Amino acid sequence: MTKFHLLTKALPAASRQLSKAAVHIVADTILDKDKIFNIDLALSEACANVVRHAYRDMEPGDLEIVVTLDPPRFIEIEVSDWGRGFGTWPVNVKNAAPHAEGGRGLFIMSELADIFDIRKECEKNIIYMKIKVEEQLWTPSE
Amino acid sequence: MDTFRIERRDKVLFINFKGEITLEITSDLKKQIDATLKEPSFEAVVLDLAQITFIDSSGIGFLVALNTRVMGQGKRLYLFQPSAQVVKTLELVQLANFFQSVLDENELKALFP
Repeated sequence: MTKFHLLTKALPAASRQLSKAAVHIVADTILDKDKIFNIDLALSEACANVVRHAYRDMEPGDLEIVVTLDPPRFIEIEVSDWGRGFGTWPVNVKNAAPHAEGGRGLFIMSELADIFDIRKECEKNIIYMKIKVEEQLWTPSE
Repeated sequence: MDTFRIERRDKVLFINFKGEITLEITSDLKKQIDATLKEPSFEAVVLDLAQITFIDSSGIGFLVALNTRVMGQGKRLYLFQPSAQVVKTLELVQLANFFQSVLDENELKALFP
């Protein structure tokens, strides 16, 4: 099992760079382009969610990604912030209405992950995703 | 998002996108395209999405907002040759049939001879 920690400020350009860095780590490890696209999208959504909501009306704070590679079984992704957190529990992850401009990010993540969870640990807000990766999709060196 | 280019062909506004449509660029994109949409002399907007390599829910929200704006003006909006990445994200959020898509040049010529 290998764990990677990546950290930046929750700003639009930096958050996309951070999610791309995490995707590069994943892309070095697994072969399947569809799976990599799914992880890219899930990571982009989680980071964008932090940028949009976590530090609203505040100075942008930290955005952290932790990627855990556990060949030949799964990849775990945690995207964390130390901002305002979710207002209501359980958090609604339903898809938005067709004409809505927003509200699809959590739905996308929940669809792409095999296990999707939203957690709070003290001041830390965590989006957790566990994605199964079949044995034949890992690079031979892993 | 790397670039976008707006081209007017008679009464059709063609907007050609390249690269990514994500939160990073949607605010700027919306401002720039909104300015163009204030011109009254076009009848339809065609978004060329063939070279989009990545789109997330912010990008989808941008397309939905643009569609609402154009339809509100009594005009039409089409997605032209949406890339596999665009189609996949649209399908994921169950909007694959929400937009009118044009899949090739022949179909485009039939719509706008």
